[in-house]
Amino acid sequence: MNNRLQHSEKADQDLKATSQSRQDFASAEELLQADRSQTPVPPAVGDRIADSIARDPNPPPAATRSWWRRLFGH
Amino acid sequence: MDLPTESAPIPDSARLSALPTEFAALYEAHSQQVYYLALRLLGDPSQAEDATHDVFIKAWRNLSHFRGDADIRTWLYRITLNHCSNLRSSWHARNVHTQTDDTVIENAAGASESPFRDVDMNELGQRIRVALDELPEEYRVLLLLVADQDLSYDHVAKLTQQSTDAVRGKLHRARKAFATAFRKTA
Repeated sequence: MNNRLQHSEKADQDLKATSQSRQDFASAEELLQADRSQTPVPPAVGDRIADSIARDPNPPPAATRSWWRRLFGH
Repeated sequence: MDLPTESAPIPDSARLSALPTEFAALYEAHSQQVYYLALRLLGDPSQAEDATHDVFIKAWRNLSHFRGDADIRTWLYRITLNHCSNLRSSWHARNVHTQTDDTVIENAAGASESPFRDVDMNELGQRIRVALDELPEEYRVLLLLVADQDLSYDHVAKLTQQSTDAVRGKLHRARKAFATAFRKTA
C-alpha cells in the first residue's frame, strides 16, 4: 500500500514537472520574453566590469555624473 | 559618491559591490537585457559575456555623452547594437548566409497551427538560437527589441533609424519568418 502511494505521488510529481516544463506562447515576443527570463547574466560579467572600472585610468569627471542624480534621485 | 581611483585588485566577492552605487544600480537594472540581446545577436555565450562587459565599460567611459534626457535603456541598446554589429561584420556576416525574406515567408504558407504551443522550456534557448540564425539581421534585431516591453515602437524606430510605420511593416514579416524558422526546429 505504502509503495503504491509512493508510486502515485511520484507519478503526480513527474506529471507536474512535465507540464511545468512545457508552455504555450501567444507570440514570438512572448517566447523571447520567456527565454530572456530564464537566461541570467553570468556573475563573472559583473565582476569583470567592476575590475575594469577599478583599473580605469579615466573615470568620468564629477560634472558628467549629474544625470545619475536625475535618474536615480540621489 | 566615491569613484574608484586605486588600481589594486579587489577581492572577487566584493567586486560588484565595489562599483559606484549608481552605476551598480544601472548594471542591475539593465544588464540582463543587454546580455540577452548580445547573446541572441552573436549566438555565443562567451562572446555575449565579452560584449556585455564592453558595453558597460563603454557606457562608463561615455557618460558625458549621455544627456540624461533620453531613455537609458535605449542608450545602452544603441551601444550594444553597434558593438554587436561591428563584431558580426568582422567575422560572422562573411560566413553565414541566411535565406532571403521572401523565401522564408513563402515557406510559411500552409502552416496553420502556431509553432509556439506546447514548447519544451528545456529546449527553448537552443531552438530560439537556431531560429534567429535563419533570419536576416534586421528581422532578428527588430524581434529582440520589441520583445522588451519597456521599449515602444517609437524607441525601436529611433534605435534602428527608420520610421515607426516601417518598423510595424517589417515586424509583421519578421514574426512570420521567425514562426516558420522556429517550427523547423521542432
